[in-house]
Amino acid sequence: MKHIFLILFLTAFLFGSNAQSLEQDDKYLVFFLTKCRQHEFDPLTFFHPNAIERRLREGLPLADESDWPVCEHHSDAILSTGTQIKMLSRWFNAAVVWADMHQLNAIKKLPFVASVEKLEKQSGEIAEVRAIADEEEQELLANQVERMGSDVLESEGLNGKGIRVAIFDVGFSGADRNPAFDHLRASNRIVKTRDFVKNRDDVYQGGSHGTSVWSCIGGKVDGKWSGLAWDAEFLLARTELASREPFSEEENWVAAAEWADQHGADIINSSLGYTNKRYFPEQMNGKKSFITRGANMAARKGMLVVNAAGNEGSGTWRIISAPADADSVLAVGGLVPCCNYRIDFSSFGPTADKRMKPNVCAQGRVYCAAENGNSSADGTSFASPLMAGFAACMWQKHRELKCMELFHEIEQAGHLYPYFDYAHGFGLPHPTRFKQEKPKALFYTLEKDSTGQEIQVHLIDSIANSETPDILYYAFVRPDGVLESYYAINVTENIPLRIDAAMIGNNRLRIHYRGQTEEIYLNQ
Amino acid sequence: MMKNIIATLCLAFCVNSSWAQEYVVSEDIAIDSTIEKSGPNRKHYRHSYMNFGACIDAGETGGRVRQPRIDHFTFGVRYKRRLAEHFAIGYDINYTVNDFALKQESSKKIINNFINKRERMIFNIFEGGLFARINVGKRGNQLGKFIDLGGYGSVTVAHTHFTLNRLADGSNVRTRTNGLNYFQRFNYGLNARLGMNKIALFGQYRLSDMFYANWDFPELPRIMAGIEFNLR
Repeated sequence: MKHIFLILFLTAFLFGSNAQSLEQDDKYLVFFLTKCRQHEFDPLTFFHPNAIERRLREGLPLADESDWPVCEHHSDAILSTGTQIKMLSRWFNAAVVWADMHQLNAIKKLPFVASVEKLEKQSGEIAEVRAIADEEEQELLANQVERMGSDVLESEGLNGKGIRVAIFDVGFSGADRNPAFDHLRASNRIVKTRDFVKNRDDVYQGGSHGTSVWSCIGGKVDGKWSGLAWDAEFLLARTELASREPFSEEENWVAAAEWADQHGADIINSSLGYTNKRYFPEQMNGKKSFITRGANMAARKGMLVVNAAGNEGSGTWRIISAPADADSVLAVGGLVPCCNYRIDFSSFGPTADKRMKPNVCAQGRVYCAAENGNSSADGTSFASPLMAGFAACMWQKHRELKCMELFHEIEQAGHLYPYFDYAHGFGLPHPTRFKQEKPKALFYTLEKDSTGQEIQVHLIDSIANSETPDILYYAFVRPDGVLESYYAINVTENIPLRIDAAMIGNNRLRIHYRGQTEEIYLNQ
Repeated sequence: MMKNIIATLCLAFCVNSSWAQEYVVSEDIAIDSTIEKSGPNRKHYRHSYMNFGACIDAGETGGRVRQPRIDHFTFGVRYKRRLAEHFAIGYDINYTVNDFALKQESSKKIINNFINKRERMIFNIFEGGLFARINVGKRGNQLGKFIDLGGYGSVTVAHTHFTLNRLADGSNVRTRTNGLNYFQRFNYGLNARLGMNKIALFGQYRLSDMFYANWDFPELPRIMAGIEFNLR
């Protein structure tokens, strides 16, 4: 008898907590069938004038059904089932609710409910800050902006003025007192702040990752600009939890994107990504995750979404993370500080459905603001804001461009374009290549050796005339356009590449060196 | 002949060296495109684990053990076969050490009623188990939250009886006896786990008797519980 009691006790001990969790409310995303006709919805009062201007530029109506608020009738009916509403999404015409099984059944029976998706409370990952020691910080600082043409931008007076950038991150600890942002505070260019984790306006807590990221767009570190868009306006949103990372971060992200839309953001920078704790690599298809769908919707509203590719390149996950898998998100990979090739942690593409990612890349090691003072840091988290700053400057210059036009022009300004691979995308953009015809200079020729069995790349200028080694990129391209394999080599010889013709097979061999891209297809 | 071989090797080395390319990126997308079949939330998953536990019940009168104390250590490997998103089955094999410290009280019967200063019974066991796993919630490639229910069978490969006594002159006398024949070599029972990713709480209930009936020994504790760490 005693044993029976002990078994019962043990069973209760082991399963008690689980039984409790099964009884607890779960979180669901409830999609509604329709929106109520909003006669009184006035986009001119609801949206910031920048948002109106963006819609006009994009050729979008001032407001469409996706901009209307969720029907009060719907939310009231949901509440009447006894559930709690955590978030209402205008874009998805949906509500995030906490509900038990009984309430869920009641919700499903509501005539205006289209579908219900269960949301999980799994954890995710923020692109991490990695402190590095004793880098030549000033050189790093100069390099991170000069590589993206800061001198050209400065000479043209491009600094992001008039562009509104929203930054979604874990928090901006120390940014309210760090001198890196004095110039922004002095001219009231921090337009709005919102903590979507705690539903309040104070974002200067939670973590300093956002502080570092922000400084890579518009900061001034040690008296020098650490980003390119230091005259832009900023919306700061906290969407992430540093200590515990529940699925609600994705909801926060979408809520922040709708908030950014309302308040006239032009660009969203999000140095965040979610990988194996929630998803499988094969789910990085641009459709699966809620945050990816939200990012695509933000792009449809005319906001350029710039996202870090991720720091999983040397880990087991390896590939880009959500929402960098979204087709309308400009995914940014990281480069080593010295040269134009991938830094070892930067995540690879392609997406699960074999689309090219990352789209472009920028320096993956920076000198930036921190919670107290400044520090060096590694991560595609910082390549992303450098790119967002570049995009802001380019949009300042070419305000007529629509969001996706800007997206493609940035891609075409990459140092590799039209060549690409899944480590660099189209490479590092530069303002001198933005909306410019590519020069047709010849740097190499492709020749066959005497046997005809080997393809050789012959440099036109001797390598001895080159001050710094350049990188030669080549890839084997399948008939469907997907790269089968790709490589980058340091050029140290006048014939830097010799490929056995048999290796090409039915593929094409695509080669890029110093802006010259050539392709060979042997089975013509 | 030897000269020719050396010359050929030198030539091969020179040719190879002159063609050497310094790769800074070298990627084959097949690596990133392969859908893994093995992983914490894939079709197959194999990993090692270790656990530490303690007796929950004190044992029958005459065979009570000292508590609280870590009495149980296991190291093993486990295989899990995912059958559905929320259901999997599997087996594990492990090596377990159960170390019971007998309470020295007047009612003691194991293995006799002599009161020692310290007395321990150590069982070295090979154990195999089957389990069914129910997962709760969606997850990525992680074990997630799970409940395991299963059974086990074990064979005791070594048993040692230790005593420690202090003599009047202050010296200690230790005895260590092996090859004893009062315990059942084969045992079986039920086990359960409640886990989340790499950590689980486990419980084990021994259904079989530990000693042969003709020895008329009271039972040692039947229930163990503790914490388990899922390793790679």
